[in-house]
Amino acid sequence: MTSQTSTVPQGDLRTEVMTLNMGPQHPSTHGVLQVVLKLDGEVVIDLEPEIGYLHRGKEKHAEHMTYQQWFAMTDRLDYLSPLQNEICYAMAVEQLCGIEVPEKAQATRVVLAECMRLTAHLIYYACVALEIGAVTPYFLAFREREDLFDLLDELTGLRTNQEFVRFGGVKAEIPADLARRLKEWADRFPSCVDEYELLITGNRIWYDRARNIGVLNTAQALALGLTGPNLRATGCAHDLRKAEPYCGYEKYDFEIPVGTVGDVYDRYLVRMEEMRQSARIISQALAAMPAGEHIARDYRHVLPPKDRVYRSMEELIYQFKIVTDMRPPRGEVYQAIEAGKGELGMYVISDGGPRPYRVHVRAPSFANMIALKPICVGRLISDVVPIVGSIDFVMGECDR
Amino acid sequence: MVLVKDRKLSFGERCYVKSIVAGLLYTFSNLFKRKVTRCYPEQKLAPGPSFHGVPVLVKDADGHPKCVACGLCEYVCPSRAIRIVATETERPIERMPKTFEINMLRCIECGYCEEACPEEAIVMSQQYELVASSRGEMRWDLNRLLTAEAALGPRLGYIRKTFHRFQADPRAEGTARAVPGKGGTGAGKPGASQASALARYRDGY
Amino acid sequence: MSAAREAAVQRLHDLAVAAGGAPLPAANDGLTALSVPREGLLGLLASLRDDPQLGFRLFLDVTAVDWSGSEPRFEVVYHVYSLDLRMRVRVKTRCSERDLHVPSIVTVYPGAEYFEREVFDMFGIAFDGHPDLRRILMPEEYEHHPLRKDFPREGIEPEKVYRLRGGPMMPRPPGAEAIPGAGSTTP
Ligand code: SF4
Ligand code: SF4
Repeated sequence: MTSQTSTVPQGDLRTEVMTLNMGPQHPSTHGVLQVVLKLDGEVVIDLEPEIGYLHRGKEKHAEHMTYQQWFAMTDRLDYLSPLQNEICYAMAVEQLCGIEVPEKAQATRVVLAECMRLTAHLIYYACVALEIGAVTPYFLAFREREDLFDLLDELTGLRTNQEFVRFGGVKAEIPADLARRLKEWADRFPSCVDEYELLITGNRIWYDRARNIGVLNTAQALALGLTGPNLRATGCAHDLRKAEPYCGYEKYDFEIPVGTVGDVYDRYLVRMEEMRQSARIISQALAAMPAGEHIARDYRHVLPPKDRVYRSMEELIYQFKIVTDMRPPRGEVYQAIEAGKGELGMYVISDGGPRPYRVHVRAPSFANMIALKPICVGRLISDVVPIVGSIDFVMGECDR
Repeated sequence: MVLVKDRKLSFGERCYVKSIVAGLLYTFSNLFKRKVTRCYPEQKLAPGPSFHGVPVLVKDADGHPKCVACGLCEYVCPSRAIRIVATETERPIERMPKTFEINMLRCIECGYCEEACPEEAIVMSQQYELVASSRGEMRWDLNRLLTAEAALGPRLGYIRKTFHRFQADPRAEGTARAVPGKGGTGAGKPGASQASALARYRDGY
Repeated sequence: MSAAREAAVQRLHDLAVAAGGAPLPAANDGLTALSVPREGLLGLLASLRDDPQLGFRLFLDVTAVDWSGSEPRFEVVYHVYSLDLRMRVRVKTRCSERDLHVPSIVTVYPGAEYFEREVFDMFGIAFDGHPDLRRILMPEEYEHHPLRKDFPREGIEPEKVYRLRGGPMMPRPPGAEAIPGAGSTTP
């Protein structure tokens, strides 16, 4: 940490306002966030998040890639829940092209999206506990996360930046054996959440450092554009899975946890409960997996089956046509889903060409970042760390 | 539908006692539980058939690459890792790659090339340990990429299971074997055959 | 619900016309879209938020599109959400390249602050009345606006090394080459 000082005379008492850089390598900044703090003693009097260290120009890339290729880029936005980004992008382009997604594909997407919510919340739990000095939770969370990654690895072939979603559905169906093990895992998972809660929920140190720290009320949260668990912690039960069900979320039975005060502790409680609910959704979706196909039969946007490609000229032409020259019609779509960190929106504009004219990602991490200043100003510097952790962002998505 | 979460600390918790006891008990009980960590370099991962290792080229029985240098994988690769120079050949496939290079530093192992390939010529292997002492060594050329078909058996089986989605249609059996046209730029507009293909796609193959 | 929504859509159209704009034809996602000249933007958004029948209190997104070649060239797009109606609305305003500024909506939706900074950074559109209009993702002294259509994909090789906040500005050492391969996309 480097610091610069400037003197502010106050009457005859001379106090110094200190500028302190937190990050970009500070462990609590979840990647490369730099927070410039202005401190009067231990009190934060001003704060400025400095972002952009992970800016890779994903939106610019989109304008130079085919629609299909940009899938690989969505995985690298919120790299803690890559499949959710893919689902959102796929749904946007499907709306653009008018592709009907089969029920089985939708149920599979629900399973994947909830797995991603779990891995993202597990990281949240691991980090927020680590940041206030509790080390054990970190390893516990990674234990379950690795188990889940083993299963997802078996499904998608990739361990962390999984990619599995295609326009019109998903790459493959979940094999029966894997579905059984995934369901077993999901049935077991709520007891793991109990374990996590045993360690810190009733711990007075955590309680004192989180209760009534970083309070936001609903009106403020709405105006700041906070969504997801941060908004629900203020007591506002807004969840896109219930408000505008997509992917058939209306078929599953789950609850929306909300908080009462809107402080760090409430954000924690809400996320812990969301993990239990996600595990419930995974179980339900796997138990009631509809029959049918995992990808749409759409000759314009879905790659034809390979056995046909090997044997027939027409399918071969379609294979070439779709890979090199899939053209959604002219138009624009804003598609939003409830990602682990809030509303993830993809605004896709097509000019009728093979590449998107513009893709804009409404990244929840970016929107959450703005809450940092109003929450932290006036608090002690030691509160900044739990607040930064509780807001929960991923810099890959924030900087894009 | 809405679950209000709130929690107050009990007296025991406020005195720190409860969490200290619970925490110690929890830690102690873990001494007797199954170990969840793996000692990686000694205990290797055993990747399954769905695993995405580095992409490699399939060598047929005569030792030739199956690749016809159509350029689809080069086109679809999101990280532009593939470079192909095509040439003609006397063999029935007519075209083959003169050089085929994958830059493994760029490759993100997404598997799009495998999915796009119309010849089952590029597949994901099970290799995941990539080490080299220079950047140049990470550019795998044709010789290094070529892998015997037998060694890729599980993966080829997986591809066939995953991408051969619909049962074969006997009508298609007699169709002439396709020879892809010029590489990379796409096949242009489907011509007169479009109508019949369209109809077949609509009635579900 | 649907009757309330229809009434709301009608109200939105009325408000847009009152602000000097017009309703836009529905896009593929079926969102109600309004176009409004930038003079009427603030008033329209404030009434969207405060109208008891509408209540678009959740701020979602500000972005821009570069319609290079058409006039006015830039389009700024706003998305807001109403929790009561469970409905999104899209508001668009255009501004031309010669007169590149729109009013900032930070007074109505404080959450727009960083989004507007991003649009300023990526497109160079100025937001009048923004409390702190600086670049947000690119370095502060960067000269270009990367999401404009005339900005090349490969980027533009920088003339200097950009300063980190608080640090000294570093000139490139004499004789130092550009970083080999930087900015090129060929392997
Ligand atoms: S796996 Fe993906 S990144 Fe690697 S060569 Fe194939 S298409 Fe390119
Ligand atoms: S897509 Fe397959 S056949 Fe075509 S160039 Fe690539 S490896 Fe060869």
